[in-house]
Amino acid sequence: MLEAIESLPLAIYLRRDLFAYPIVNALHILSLGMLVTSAVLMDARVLGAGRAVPLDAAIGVLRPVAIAALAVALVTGALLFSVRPGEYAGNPVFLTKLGLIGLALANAGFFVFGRRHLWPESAVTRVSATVSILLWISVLFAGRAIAFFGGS
Amino acid sequence: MSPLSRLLALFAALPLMVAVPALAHHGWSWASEDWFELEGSLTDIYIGQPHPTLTLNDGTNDWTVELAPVDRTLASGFDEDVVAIGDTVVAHGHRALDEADYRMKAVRLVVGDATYDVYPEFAAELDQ
Repeated sequence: MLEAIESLPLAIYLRRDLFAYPIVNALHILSLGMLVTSAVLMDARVLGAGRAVPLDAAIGVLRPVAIAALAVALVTGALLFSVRPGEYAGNPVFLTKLGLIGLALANAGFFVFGRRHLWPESAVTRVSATVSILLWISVLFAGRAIAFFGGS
Repeated sequence: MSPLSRLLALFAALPLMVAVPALAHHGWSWASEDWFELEGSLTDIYIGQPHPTLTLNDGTNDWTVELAPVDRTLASGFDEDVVAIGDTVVAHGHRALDEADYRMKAVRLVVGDATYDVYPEFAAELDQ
């Protein structure tokens, strides 16, 4: 599986081209910057910041940005992974980052479902917003740490 | 403090936390200024983005040898097809200041009769 990814023509191109990898890398940073910013702004609004903007209006503007940024981050992240799949798949920091992304997405799903059906504007949604801030920032730190720790 | 001000304060403190590992990753600050020579058997080679690296076994330890960026490493003539796993490679460069870290930054690689200067501007010092 990892060997198959490694030998994809696109992976080979990214590995050797002087410009493609840095461009994909920059797009990954751009998308996760937009994702973390839009998520944290929504969370801050849930926690009581910026009351001048109604919560539904804030979420209406920011959620599509967060979802689009997440899509770009997943695609560019997969491309960066394809360059050295064996190296990253065995890196505990990378695996920790994937786990944190899973938790952050599960928390986002919990927030959307809980706010709609169970506890709108409650302590539960505020705890979920706080957890969201912590998780997304942890994802960003774990992502950056891949380059420094855990690899060979 | 409002929740937003608290977030902004956290954000402002981030560069302080990031600066230290950033120094350790790129550049040469993690490596000794003294020249170092490592002879070992090639156990792994990766010539590609983001960082070309070799693994050399000196008989006791596996060393990670960091080369120049891809374009500069290729410009030296060194690539995955000029050497084979098991070949003896001599790397000249600078080892990690932390001697428990079996890692070095290569300036010159020697494989048999062939010499590859991945950092020619620094390799010139080796010939003086």
